[in-house]
Amino acid sequence: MYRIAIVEDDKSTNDTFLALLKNHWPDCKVDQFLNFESANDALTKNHYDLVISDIDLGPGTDKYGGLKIAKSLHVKQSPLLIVSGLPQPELHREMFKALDAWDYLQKPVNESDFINQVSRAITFSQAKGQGPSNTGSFQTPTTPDPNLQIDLRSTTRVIWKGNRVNLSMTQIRLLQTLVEHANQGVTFEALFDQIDSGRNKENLRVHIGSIRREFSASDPEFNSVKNVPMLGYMWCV
Amino acid sequence: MFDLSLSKFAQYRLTLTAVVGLALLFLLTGATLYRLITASIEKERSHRQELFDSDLRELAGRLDADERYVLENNLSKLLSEERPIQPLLLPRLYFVNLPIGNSPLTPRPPPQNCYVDLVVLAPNAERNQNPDRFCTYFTSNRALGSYLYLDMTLSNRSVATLRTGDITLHADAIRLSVRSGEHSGSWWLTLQPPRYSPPSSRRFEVTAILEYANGKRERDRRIEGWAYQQQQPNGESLLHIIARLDFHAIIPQQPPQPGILSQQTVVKSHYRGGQFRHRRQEALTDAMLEPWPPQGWQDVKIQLARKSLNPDTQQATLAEYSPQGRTNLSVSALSAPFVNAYAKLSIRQHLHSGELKRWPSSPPAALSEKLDSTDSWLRIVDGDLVFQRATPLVREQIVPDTNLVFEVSHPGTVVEKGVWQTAALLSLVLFGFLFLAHHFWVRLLRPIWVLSAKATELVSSPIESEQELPYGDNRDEVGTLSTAFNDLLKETRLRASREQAERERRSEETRQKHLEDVKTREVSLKTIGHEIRSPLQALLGLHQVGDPSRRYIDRMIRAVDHLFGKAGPASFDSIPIDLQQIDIAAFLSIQATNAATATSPITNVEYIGPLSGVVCKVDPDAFEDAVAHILENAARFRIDTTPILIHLSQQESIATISIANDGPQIPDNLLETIFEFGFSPTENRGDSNQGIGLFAARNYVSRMSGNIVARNTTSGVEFIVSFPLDI
Repeated sequence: MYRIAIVEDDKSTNDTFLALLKNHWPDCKVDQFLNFESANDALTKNHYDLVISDIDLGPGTDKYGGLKIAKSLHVKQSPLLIVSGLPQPELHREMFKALDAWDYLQKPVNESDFINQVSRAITFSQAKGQGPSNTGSFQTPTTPDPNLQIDLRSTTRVIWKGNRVNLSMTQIRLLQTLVEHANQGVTFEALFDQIDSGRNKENLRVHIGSIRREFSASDPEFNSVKNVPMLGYMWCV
Repeated sequence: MFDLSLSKFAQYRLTLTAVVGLALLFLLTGATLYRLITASIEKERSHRQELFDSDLRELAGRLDADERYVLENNLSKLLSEERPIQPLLLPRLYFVNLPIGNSPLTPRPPPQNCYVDLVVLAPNAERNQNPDRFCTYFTSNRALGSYLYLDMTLSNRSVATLRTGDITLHADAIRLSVRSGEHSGSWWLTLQPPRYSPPSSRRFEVTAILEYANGKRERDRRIEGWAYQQQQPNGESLLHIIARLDFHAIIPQQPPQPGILSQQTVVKSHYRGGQFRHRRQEALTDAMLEPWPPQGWQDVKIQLARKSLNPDTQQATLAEYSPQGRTNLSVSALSAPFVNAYAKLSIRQHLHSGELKRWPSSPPAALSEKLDSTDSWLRIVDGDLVFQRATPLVREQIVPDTNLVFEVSHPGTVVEKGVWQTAALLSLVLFGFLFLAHHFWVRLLRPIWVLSAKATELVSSPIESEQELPYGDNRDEVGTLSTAFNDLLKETRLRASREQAERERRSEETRQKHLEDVKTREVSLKTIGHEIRSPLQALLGLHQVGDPSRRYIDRMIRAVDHLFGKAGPASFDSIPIDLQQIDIAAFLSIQATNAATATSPITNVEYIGPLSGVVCKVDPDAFEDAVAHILENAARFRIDTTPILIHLSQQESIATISIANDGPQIPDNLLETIFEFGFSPTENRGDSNQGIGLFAARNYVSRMSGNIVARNTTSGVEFIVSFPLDI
């Protein structure tokens, strides 16, 4: 039984998310929070398999209360799914670097995208719970590239040449898809399958660009994600 | 076509005029030169042939019958300019006895070619305008006696005669020495007034004094003769001596002993013989017995000396004559006109035995260089060019009454000095023209062409280029022109550079302002977006699917997507651009290959250009998308499946990509419009084009510091994408 927290200042929206979750996972336990204080208190005391949070938690609280929740989740190591009316949170990326797992959905989000994203987040959470949940294991490479470690059970899920690379869960899935077909190339269509919303080339470009930038941040020489013009991308070992 | 040809002619008018003019001049001068030489040669040959015929006729006619006889019978002695003083064989007798009384008649002289001009030996050698002449001969008619005839013409102002009984010979005298084989005799021939002639007759009898080897002298009547003075128009007087010598005075007749007789023996035999043989009957009798001319007559040698008595000082001087005299009318002298024309004169003699003998003449010493002693095909004589042709010019003339034929042989071609000098001058003029033409081409026409080509090239050069027109270092007019144009070019570039910098500054200001506006708007939109999106999310929860108001919420959601950039132009601006060093040559070649297997396949894409080595700083995703959008546009508008050509080139610091397709052209007024968001010329055709591809392509390219333009070609459309090279 999953335990999920919804942090959303808008009661109606909060209830909508609850209804969507209950529709798909009737036996799940969902805790609803309308402000940062109550949410933060609960998150400190309890463990959740997934935290769904807005960024702006409305007047009366901190303007970006969702970011504070993200900070507090660093200790709890729960996956965070941001559902916000703000665009892709480039400005707050540094905040999410502290998280084990996170992803982002922009409002208004439809049911299918929401459920898919929640499912993938829970999958991440489950995978982490199945193994030793330590600070990271580098004993066994999990990819064909010896420089790359992807360990969903670890708090540091993506390791490149010994350094952690912070990626959203969507980006990790894209990376996994590329690495599984290292030196072969992956078509755009195959990569679209790993994106929940905005399945178009422009959106894919945004995610691939983010992956490159995150890897380049830890390794300026990084050049493993290659374009296969007109077809897709390829992870070069 | 006519206009085009006329235009081309006008463009190269100077060159064409020069080339045609020089070619005509070259041909005209060459033809004149050729005509001058060939016509001169042929004319000269024809003229020379006629001249030789005329000269030969004149030469043959110039000799009278006696001279022709002399030539025929004494040919070997008359070939050279000089010959020994020897007797010739003459056809008749020219000796007459001293006329009686005051008869003004003078005897007929021997033929001209019997004479030799006597040469005085040193130290008394002197050149006389009228040299002393001497002729000695035998007659062919034996019945005329066994005489050796003497005929002399001496220059003489006065005659010192011999006084009777003066054995000392205190008078003018001629010493005559005759040798025939081993026989010889020496006489002094002196003059004495005749016994029965008046002194005014200026005639003299010849008194011969035989001189023995021991110096003893004695009058010898076997030599008889006389002399007369003849006044010349120039005031000088000539003394003619006519004498004959009984040849038995040299070779005794009785008895005709074989062997060699000494001079003493000859004299003694003379005395034993008693009297001088002057009786004709006796001579005729002897003539029938002796061979005539006497054997060895051709070898008889005569030596002469002249003793002159100065009437004032009464001092005698003796002048020895050379044994060689200058032949009168020698074949050599006769050949002078021919030798002057580089021809040889020879004489063919048809002997009675049937044998043909050729007598080549030697040229006069003064003209010896005119004839070639070698067989060289070309000689230069006195500036004339003498060519030895395979067919020399040969003319001949029979000498009447003789067995002789004059033959003239000419080498064939003579180019006279004046002709070839004129030809050389014309050639010089010709080469001068060629040199001027070459100079004209090298220094003017070619530089003009090069300047034109370079100027055309510079038209498309970038402003920052430092290329200049060539020839600026030349100090001539072309250099001055080039320098002036280069100065103009520099000034133009400077102004253009300033204008461009100003335009760029303004453009950058505009762009920055635009970016700031966009940024401000984005921030505003994000804020507004958030304020709209969150309520929409709530509304979605309140109005489930099937709720009548749900469709309005869905419309609002779609409107928000458009408004906040998911499908609008601002969405492309928000896509980050990460510039990397990319080898676009390798990238394009792969992209062209993969185009056929893409999700939306584009077949028949050909890449032309280097396969690697063209590096630019671009975002690989944006670069790929920009090219893909252009390819999709080309595939949409090309004719059937005609090829789409991707051509990559690099020039200086710019890489240029050309993507061309055959198909309909774009109206000129739409060449820029097609890059605007949402523009599609086919929007009414019902296809899926939304007018985003070319907008996205320009957006990406411009954000990567590149440039993209479209232009029409003769067969379709071409998109030109350029990026700065990352050097």
